[in-house]
Amino acid sequence: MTLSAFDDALDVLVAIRAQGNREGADYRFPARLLADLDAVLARVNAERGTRKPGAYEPDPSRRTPGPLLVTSGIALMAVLSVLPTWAANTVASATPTVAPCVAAKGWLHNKPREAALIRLMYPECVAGSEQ
Amino acid sequence: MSQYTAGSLGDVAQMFEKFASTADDMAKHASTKRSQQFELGRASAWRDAAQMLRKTVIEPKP
Repeated sequence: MTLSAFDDALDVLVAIRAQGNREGADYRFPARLLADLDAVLARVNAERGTRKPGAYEPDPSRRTPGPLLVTSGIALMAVLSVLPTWAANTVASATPTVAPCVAAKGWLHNKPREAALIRLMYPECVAGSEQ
Repeated sequence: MSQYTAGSLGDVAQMFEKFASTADDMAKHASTKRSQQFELGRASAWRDAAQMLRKTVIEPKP
């Protein structure tokens, strides 16, 4: 894993925080957890701000499909770790070998708030490709 | 090594672990076996990511 993967991890947290408990989620993150997340992101903002002009903001280019996100070790590991579960929950005929986009789309359907994770990890799925 | 301090690196890993614990709690209170499995899978993903962060970014072995 490289530090860029760490930035990807940060982006995941930023995306989760940006959506918070909105979008009619079927469960809510504890307020304490989100408060802790705010504190962590504020600390990162401050540290990056000492070395770069302005506070930390996710690089917009990282929101578009790119090999860095797809090949990020942490992103891939996170997806692969739960794909069997997602598949079991969202795709009737799913197996651990199900096409990633099929499982991802199922998860997008059931968990709209956390779709940000999928957009980060499999942007091509959101763009419409089924495989 | 980076523009981040060890403290913030650790904080981010800890946040992944907190999300994992939250998913564990949700699994305990899940009303169906299906949702329980989903939450356990989510917890596993968050926890694995935290461990990877600690092993490769925060505490890399020479």
